[in-house]
Amino acid sequence: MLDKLSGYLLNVDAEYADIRYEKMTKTEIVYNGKELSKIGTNTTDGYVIRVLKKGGFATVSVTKPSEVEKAFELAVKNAALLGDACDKKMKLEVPGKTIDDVILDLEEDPRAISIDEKLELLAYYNNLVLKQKDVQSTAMRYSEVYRDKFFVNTVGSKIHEQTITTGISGRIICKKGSSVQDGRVSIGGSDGFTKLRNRDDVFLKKAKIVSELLYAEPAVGGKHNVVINPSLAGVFVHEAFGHFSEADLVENSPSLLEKMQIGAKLGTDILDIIDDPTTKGQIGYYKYDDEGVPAKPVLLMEKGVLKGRLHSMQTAAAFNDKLNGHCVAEDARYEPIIRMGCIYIKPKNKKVEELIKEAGNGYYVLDSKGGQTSGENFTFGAQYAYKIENGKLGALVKDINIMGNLFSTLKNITAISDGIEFCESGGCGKGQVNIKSCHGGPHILIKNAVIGGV
Amino acid sequence: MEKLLEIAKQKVDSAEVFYTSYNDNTINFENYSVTEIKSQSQSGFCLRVIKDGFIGTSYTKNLLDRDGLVVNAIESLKGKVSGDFDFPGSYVPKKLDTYDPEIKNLSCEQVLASIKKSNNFVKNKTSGQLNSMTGFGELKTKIINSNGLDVEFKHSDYFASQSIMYPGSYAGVSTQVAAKNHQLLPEVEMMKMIDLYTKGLKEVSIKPSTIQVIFLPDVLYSLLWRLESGTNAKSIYEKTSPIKNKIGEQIFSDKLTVIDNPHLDIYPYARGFDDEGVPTQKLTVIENGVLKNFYNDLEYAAKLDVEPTGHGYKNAMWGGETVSLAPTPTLGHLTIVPGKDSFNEMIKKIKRGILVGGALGAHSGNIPNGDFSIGINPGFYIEDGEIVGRVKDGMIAGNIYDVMKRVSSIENEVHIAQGGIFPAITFEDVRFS
Repeated sequence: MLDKLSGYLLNVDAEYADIRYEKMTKTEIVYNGKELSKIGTNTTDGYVIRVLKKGGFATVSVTKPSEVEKAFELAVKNAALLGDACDKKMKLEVPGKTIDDVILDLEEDPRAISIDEKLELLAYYNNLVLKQKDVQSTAMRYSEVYRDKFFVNTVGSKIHEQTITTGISGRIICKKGSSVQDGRVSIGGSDGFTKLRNRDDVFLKKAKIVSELLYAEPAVGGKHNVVINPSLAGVFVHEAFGHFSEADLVENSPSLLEKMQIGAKLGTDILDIIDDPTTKGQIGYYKYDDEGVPAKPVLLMEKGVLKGRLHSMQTAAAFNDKLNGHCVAEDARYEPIIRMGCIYIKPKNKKVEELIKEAGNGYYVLDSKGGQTSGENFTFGAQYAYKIENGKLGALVKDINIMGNLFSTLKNITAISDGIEFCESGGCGKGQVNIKSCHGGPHILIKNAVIGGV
Repeated sequence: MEKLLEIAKQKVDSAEVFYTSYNDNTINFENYSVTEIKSQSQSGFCLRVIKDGFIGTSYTKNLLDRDGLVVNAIESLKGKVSGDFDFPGSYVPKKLDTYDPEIKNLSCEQVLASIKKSNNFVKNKTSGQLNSMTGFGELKTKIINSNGLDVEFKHSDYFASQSIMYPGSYAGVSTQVAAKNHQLLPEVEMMKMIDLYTKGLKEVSIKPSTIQVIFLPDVLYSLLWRLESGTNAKSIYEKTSPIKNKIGEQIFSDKLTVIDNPHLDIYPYARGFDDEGVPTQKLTVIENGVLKNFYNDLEYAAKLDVEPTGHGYKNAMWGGETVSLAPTPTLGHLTIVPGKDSFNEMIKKIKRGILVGGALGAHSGNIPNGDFSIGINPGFYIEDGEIVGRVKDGMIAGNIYDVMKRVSSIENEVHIAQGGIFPAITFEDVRFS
């Protein structure tokens, strides 16, 4: 395949070009409540072409191999048009020639396990949850995404990389009278099937909490001190800060860029933030991004000072910065865009109990229910929380959504715990869905966070 | 397609082949400069088979091995996914005007020129950063099945949007147009956008309280998302809907009428049949505040033993490859019937309130229960009938089955918005924090 792809590049009239062929084999098994609603393994594929010409960088994606040559013609035409029309000519920081073949290194290869065994495991967890108190329904999904990616460019790079992401995730819905509560659960990773076995505790714990939420009081809206757990700290650092370390989101926004200058003091002295797709086992692991650039760990913030950004070839050139391999596509329909690989806050020395004590009064908020960002503002939902009263944990509360401003919130992080946990499923929706978007962290204390309540 | 169906139907009780292909182009501008031109040409096939009351599915993009695709669908029958329904038979779908052949002649050069024209109109009138996104293309879908169904449609679409961003933020004020072919953004709409943006330049801070809130059309999806969950046949079947037994009851303000109308072909994406080939219909969900109907696909119509409503679409909360998705009940063509007040009259009627121009975190919170808790992004503070500034950080929260009882005003015109065709709506007593 690599040689076939190289052949397409021979006669391209451009300063730079690359082509990616991606074949994706997806196994999905879905339960809605007691009923199985989907099962099967299917394969899709396609080609993504990118061309730099006259200062314009254009992309075309196609399904059929018979369309590839025409796609190059269109990409060359669109790149030239873009180059003529844009104010600032685009340049690329092109990586050196790389030839590599990255095969999977797994504890237990999910592809070698029969679909019947996968179904049996999913059914086991689903039934386990359905038997718990107040559980009305579930939506449980086994998802296995195996990607076989082939990348070549006009520099002569030829890279083949396989990745596989395996997980079980779902919703637990409890009901009492007309009150409905739901919670999310997920297990999985990129290092094999073993991670999915013997995880009853995860499902049982969440089913119990969702049931208890039916009887819990709602959170009181307003400004509160909050201690957030690793799952939420991960979403927080992803939403509140991570997206602004993605160079494409600040490159053409002068007012944001002004605030996000390297060297700017944005957070408290205890805050170190890193993105590292190369940490093995976590769901975001990869060796090369979809531009054929080797992934590298990036120190984004050190002692509250902005130190680095995540780059594509285009933004690395625009910022005169080094490549770090953070440009990833959802699948063969899309061009790669800058993504976080595995972002986390570096743990410190304090115990969780100390953070709760320091909070005084407020909430101990746990587990993510999704987040969103827009410039300096962000929100994220939490699945549940406990009151903190006089430095001690109190009653369970429901309906927690936190909103904040990037710049003020980073300065309100006053304590960070020891220990670190990474999420076991990803799902960032910045234009394209990235199921390999990993995040994590320790517990953190944020002073004066805005809680929406309901 | 026909060969694939022929092979499949020899081996099962019934079979369906779904084919879709699309070509589209996207041109993005950031801060008045073009940053991106990208094109997609994608296609794929999905095969569904039913045997002994079970359903099997397979899909692919490049159809290289028809027999293999059939074998794969039959393999998935072993999982015993209930398929206790049949595919629709032959009929002639409602004729709709969904395709303008001129789209084929539209070039990126032409579109680029019209974006520049619209952007320059804004540039001369405001200092804010302008981003714009424009897309155009065509989509074809064809469905055939072993019961004789053979239906297809072609859509053309042109979508253009502009947003002026507040400094340091991606919160902004937007305007957009959606049509079946090239269309300039109307100057009057761009002027409204500039006016609202300018009024929000001043930042104001307000204390947590219960307040009047106007939702702009583009933000109403955050409330209707909860209603869609509550009226979905899947939620009814799974007994997770809080309004399961409330057909015929007054659940919202009598000012509110919500209709799903796939036949409204003055806008793009009208549909005469859904992704299972079932004829679509105009479905009243809420009439003067009274809950009238739930919506379903073939699977959930059979499970609830009701007639299919033609709302089975291959989509998912976060998108995905069309052919890979199973049909699921979806309200894809929502409209809200306009009211009596002009937008300016709605503002004038507010003593103390917030105009919500964008929502952050609409996907968070307890959606099945109808709860919402969204960041206002941006939000404008209104006092004594005048917009006095922009509220930087704040959330509004509530439950739609409570808040949507308190509609005090509905705009007298509708706009193309995220999630449907809506007017602006004022709600009383919404919690702001």
